[in-house]
Amino acid sequence: MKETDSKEFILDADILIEAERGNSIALNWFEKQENIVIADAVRFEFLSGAHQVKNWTVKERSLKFYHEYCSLCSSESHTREDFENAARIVGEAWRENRGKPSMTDGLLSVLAQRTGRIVATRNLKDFKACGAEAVNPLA
Amino acid sequence: MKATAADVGRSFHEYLSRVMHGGVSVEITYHGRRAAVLNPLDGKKMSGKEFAKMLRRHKPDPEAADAVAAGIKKMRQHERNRLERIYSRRRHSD
Repeated sequence: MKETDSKEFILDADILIEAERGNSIALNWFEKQENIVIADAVRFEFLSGAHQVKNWTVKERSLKFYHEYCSLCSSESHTREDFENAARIVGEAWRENRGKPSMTDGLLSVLAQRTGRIVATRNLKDFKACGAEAVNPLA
Repeated sequence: MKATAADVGRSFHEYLSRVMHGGVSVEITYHGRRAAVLNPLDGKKMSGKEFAKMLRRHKPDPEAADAVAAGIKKMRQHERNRLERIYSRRRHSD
């Protein structure tokens, strides 16, 4: 991913999951980035996935991972306009059959556009459907 | 984030690291009441190098990662099905 090394990224939850997995490609990519930033919607998504885990010890390991690593990252908050713009771009993408982005995809996309960042995600299609610049650090 | 004075006293360096590198504020409670707040001075963001260095101390946990991913996928699928129903009705009515 040489061409994107000097840009600023905002991480999607699926990249945090790769970090939890210990994916060395993800770790090497983090090392090259100036800053690591996530968003409140990403915190929500990761934690909602962790809290759904039925096995208590696995759930606790994921929550520990979140609190010890993810919660230390700077996190961008969403404004009311972010929600309004996310609703518009998600609705338009669905209406025009460009993709099937979720509310979190929409929120992260508008946040990235507002702050001039690129979304780092494995799910390029739905972010591109929302008009956000996105890269897959694992590709 | 919130922490009790006893917890902060026990793990002061850990909390300080969160404030300095994570840019978070820690609200400290004493006997259940808000007593103090630890705030970062310069709002420094975590660098990619710092994040990677921390993560290299983490024991890879594919089982937990898969479980979190499955939870998110289930939730997203539910949301997609709901939006699919809304937009397919709209397309039919247009």
